Amino acid sequence: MSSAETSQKYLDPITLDRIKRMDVRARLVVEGFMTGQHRSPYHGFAVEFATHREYAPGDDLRHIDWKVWSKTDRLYIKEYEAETNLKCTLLVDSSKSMRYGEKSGWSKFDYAATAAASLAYLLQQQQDAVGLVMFSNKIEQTLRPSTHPSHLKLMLHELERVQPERTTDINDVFLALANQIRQRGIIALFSDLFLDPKVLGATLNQFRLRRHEVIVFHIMHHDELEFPFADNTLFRGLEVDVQLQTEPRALRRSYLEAVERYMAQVRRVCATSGIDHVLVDTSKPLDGVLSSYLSFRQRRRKQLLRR
Amino acid sequence: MSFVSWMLNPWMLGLGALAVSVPIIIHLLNKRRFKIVDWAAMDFLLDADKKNRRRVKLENFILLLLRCLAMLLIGLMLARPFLPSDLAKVFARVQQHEWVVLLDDSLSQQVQVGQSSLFDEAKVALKSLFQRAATSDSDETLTLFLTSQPDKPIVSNKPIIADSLSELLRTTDELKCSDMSADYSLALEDVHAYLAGQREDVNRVLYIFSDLRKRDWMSESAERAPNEIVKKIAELSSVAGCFVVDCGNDRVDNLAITDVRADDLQVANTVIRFQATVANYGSVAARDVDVRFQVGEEAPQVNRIPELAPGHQSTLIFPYLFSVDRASQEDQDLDLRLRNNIAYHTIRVELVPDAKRIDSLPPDSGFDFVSPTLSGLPVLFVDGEPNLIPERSETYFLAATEVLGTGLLADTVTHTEFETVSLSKYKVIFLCNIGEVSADRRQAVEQWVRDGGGLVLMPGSQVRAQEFNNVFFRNGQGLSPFGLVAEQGDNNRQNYFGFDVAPGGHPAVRVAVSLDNIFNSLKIYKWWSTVLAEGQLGQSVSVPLWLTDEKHSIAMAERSFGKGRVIGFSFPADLDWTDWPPHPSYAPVVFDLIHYLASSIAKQDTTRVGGSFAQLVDLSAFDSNVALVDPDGETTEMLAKPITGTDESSQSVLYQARIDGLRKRGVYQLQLMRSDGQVQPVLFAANVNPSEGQLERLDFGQVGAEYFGDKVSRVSLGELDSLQFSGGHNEIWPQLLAALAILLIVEQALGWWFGRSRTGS
Repeated sequence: MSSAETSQKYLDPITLDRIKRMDVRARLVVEGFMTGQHRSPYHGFAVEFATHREYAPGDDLRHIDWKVWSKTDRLYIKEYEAETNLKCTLLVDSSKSMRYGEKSGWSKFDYAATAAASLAYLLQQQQDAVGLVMFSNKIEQTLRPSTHPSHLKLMLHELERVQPERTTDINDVFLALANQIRQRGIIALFSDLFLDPKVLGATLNQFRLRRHEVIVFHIMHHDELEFPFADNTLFRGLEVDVQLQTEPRALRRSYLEAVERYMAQVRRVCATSGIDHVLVDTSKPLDGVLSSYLSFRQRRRKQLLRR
Repeated sequence: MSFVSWMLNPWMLGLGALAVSVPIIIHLLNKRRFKIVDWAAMDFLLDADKKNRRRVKLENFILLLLRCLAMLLIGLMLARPFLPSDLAKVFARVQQHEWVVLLDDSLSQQVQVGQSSLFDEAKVALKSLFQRAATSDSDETLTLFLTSQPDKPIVSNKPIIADSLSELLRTTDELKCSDMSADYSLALEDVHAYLAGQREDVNRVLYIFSDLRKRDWMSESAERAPNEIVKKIAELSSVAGCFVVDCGNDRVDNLAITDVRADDLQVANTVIRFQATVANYGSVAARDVDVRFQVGEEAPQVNRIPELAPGHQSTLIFPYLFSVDRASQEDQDLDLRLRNNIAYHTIRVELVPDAKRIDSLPPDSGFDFVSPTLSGLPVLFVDGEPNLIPERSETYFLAATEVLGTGLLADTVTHTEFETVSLSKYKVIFLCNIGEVSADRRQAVEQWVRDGGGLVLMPGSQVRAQEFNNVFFRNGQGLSPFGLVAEQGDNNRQNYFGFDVAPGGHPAVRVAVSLDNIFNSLKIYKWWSTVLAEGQLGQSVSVPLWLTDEKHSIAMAERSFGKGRVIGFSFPADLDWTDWPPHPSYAPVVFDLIHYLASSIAKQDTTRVGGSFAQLVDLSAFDSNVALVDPDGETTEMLAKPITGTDESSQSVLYQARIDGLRKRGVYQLQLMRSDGQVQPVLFAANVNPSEGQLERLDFGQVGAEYFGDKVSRVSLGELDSLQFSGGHNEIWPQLLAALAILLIVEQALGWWFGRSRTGS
C-alpha cells in the first residue's frame, strides 16, 4: 500500500469512524494529510525572511548576509520576522442540528469534532496556541488557547465528551465570545450555519471588528446537500418541533434550490465581511479542511507581510 | 333504458368499478407506509414543501385518476359494451332496447321433428326468450313480423314485462305456420320500411328466425334474390344488430306433388285426363311411391311410381269421367241448364304415407284440384236469316251437332234477340250470316272475346260487305280476321271448288285430315272474296283452309283477339252456297271447332298459395257483392270491381272478383249472388309453392360471410340463450383496448415526466 493510499484511507471519514479515540483520530488525520503532501508545508514558515538591514554594531554576526557582502562589499543583516505565537480559537457548534447523520454513521458533529481535533493537533505541532469553544444557544465549554501539550488532550477529551443537545443561537454567544477573546488571532468556526445569514454576518462581523481572522468551516451532511431520499418519508425537525410527511422526490428540486439560495447568501455575507467560507461535505475526506486551513493561513501571512 | 343492457357481461363492469378502488387503496397504504428521518435542514424542506404542495397534490391526483380510469376501462372492456347505432346517439338519448323478430312461417317450417314441427320449436325458443326478458331488469320491447305478412307486424313495440308476458306467450302460441313461401327480400324491405318510420334513438336487435333454406335465400331468382337480400341486410345491420337464428334442420328427404293438371276443357260425360306430377327433392331414390287420386268422397284410384330418383319428377295420369244424367237435364229449361252448367268437383291427390320412407314435409304431399266440369259446352248460334222451315234456317246444321254424347249445350237466338243476350254464360258464339250489330253489342262481343270467348263468323248473302267491314273488320282492328270484298262463284251452282288444307293443319280439321280425301267430294259454289289487313297474316291471323279456286281464296281464317279467338269462314252455314253442312265431315269439324274455341278459355295456371285468383262476375246475372269462403270455413265479403285496363266509358257488365295473396292451401269457395237471390258457388283450389319442398340448406358458414359480411352472425336456437342481452351493434372493446393502452402509456409518461421534473438534473 502506497503512502498516498494510506493517507487517503486515514482521511476517509468512514475509516476514521471506526477509531473511537479522538487523539488517535486527529493524529491519523494530520499525519495522513502530511504524508499526502509532496512538500512538507510547515517547513518554511517558522522563520520567514522579511528584509535586509545595514549592519549596525551590536548585531549578531550570524545574521550577516555574506552573499550580499561579497557582491556589494557592505554588511547587511538578514532580518527575519519572528514567528509570533498564533492564537487560534476553534468554535464548534454543538447544537442538536449537528446530530444529523448519527443514525447512518458519522454525524455532522462527529465530523466537525474530528476536523477541529485534527486542526488542533496540527496547530499544536506548530507550537501555536489552540483554544476551544463549544456552543449551542449558549457557550457550552470554553478552553482558552494554550500551547501546552496537555491542553490538547483536554480539548480532545472535551470534544469526545460533549453531546449536542440544544438549539443554535449564535447572536449572544458570539457577542460574548468576541468580548472574551481579546488577543488577536484566528477564529475557526465549525458549524452547519442553520441560521439567518444576516444574523450570521452581523455576529461574525463582531470578530472582524476585533481584527480576528475568521475561517468558517460550513459543515453540511451529504444528505443535506443532495437530498437523496426517495420513499415516502416523515421528516422530524431536530431543533424545531415540526413534522412533515412528504414524497421527497417531489420536493428535491425546490429543496436544492432553497439550499443553493441559502449557500449563496452565506457566501455573500462571508465575502463582504472578509471571512473565509469553506463548505465541507461530510462524505468527503478531512484533508480538504486541513488544506484549506493551511492555504488560508499562508494567504493571511502574505497579506500581513505586504502591509 | 337500463345502462347494463348495453353490455354482454355487465357484471364485469361491476368488477371494474370495484377494481377502481385498488389504486386508491394502494395510494392510501403508501401514505401510511413511510420512513422517519430526523432532519436538520427543516427550513429548506418546509420552504420547498410550501412551494410544491399544490403541484404535487395535483400531479398525484392526475396519476391516481388515470389509474382508476384504467381499472374502469379494463372492467368496461371485459363487459363488452356495444353501441346502439352510432356514438352520438349513445350519448344523446337512447332510451330503450327493441327486439325486432322476423319469424319465418313459410311452409318449409312445417318440417316434422318428432311430434312437433320446426315452427313449433322456434315458437318454444321465442317464448323462453320472452320469459327471460320479462324476468330480467332490462327494458325490452318486442316487434314481431312474420315472413308471410311482413307488411304489418303481429306485435308492435310491445314492452316485454311481467304484465304483458302472458299475452305475448298467448300471441306466440296462436301463431300458425302459413302455407306461404318466404320472400326474404320483400320481408326485409318491409321490416326496413317499418323501422324507418320508428324512433331512431332506440337500440334495436333484429333476430331473423329462419330455417335457412337455400331456396329462400338464393334460389329461383338467384340473380336477384341474394343481392336484394344482401342489400337489405346491409341496410338493416346499419340501424340494428342482426342475428340470423337458425331454426332449421338438415333433413332434406321430401316427396311432393308439385302439380296436377287436367285437359283444358273438362266436360261431363267425356273422359278427362288428370296429370299429377310427383317430385323427389330428397337425396335418396324413393321406391314404390303410391299416389292416391280421389274425387270428392268417391272411391280413390291408386297409381304407383316404381322408382323416383332423387331430384327427378314423374308424372302419373288418372283418367276420369264425370257422368251426368243428361236425360234428367233434357227436361229442364235451357236457361236453367246454362246457369247450372258448371259442376265443381274437388279432387284430392296425395302420396300414400309409407312408414319406410322419410317425407319431411307432409303439407306438400297432397294436392287439391277443383275441376270445373261443364255438364255441357254452352254454344250460342245466332241466326241472321231465321226461317220457319228448320232446314232453311241458317243454324239448322250447326244446331244439329248438339246430340247426346257431344257435350254441347246449344242455344239459338235470332239477330234481334242477340242484342240483349247475356254473353258470359256462353263459351262459343256462332254469328251466322250476321252483317251488322249495334255498337254496344259490338263492344260487348269484343270484350267477351278479349276475355276468352270463341267467336265464329259465317257471313252469307244477308251480309253487305261495307257494313260487315265497318262493324267486324275495321281494317284489322275489329274481330274479323278478314274484310269482305265481293261475292264470288257461280250462282248457277255449275262450278265449284273444294278445300285445300294448309300445311300444319288446324285442330278443327284434324278429323278431315286424318281421314284422307274426305273433303274431296265437297262442292263450294259461292264464297266471299276477302282481304286481310296488311301485316296481320302470320302474326295474329292465320289461314288454315283455302279454296281450290284459281285465286286461292280463303275458306277459313283465324285471328287471336285478346284471350279469345275468332274464326271466320268465307261462306255461311246453310246450304245456299255450299253442300258441306250435310256432309259427314261437317259435324266433326264443327264439334272440334267448338272444343278448340272453348278450350282457349279453360287454360289457367295452377293457383298457388300467395298467388291470386280472379273470377269474372257478369253483373247482368250476379250481384257485385261476393263472399269468399276459405278452406277453414271463414267467410270474407268482397266486392267485384270493373276490370282494370278496360275503357271506363264502356260500361261493361263484366266485373272481376279478384282475391290476391291467398294465404291457405286447400279449396276455396267464391259465392256469387245471383239476381234471383240464389247463391252460385265457384270453387278453386290453392296449392303450396312446390319449390318450398326443396329443403336444401344455405351453407351459412360458406356463403354467410360473403353474403352478409361480419355484421350478421348466425346463431342456433340453443345459442340464443346466451344472446339474450346482446345488442348487436358495434362492440367497442377494441377501441376500449386501444384507449386503455393509450391511458397506460400516458400514465407511465406522466409518471416519468413528473418524476424527472422532481429529481431535477
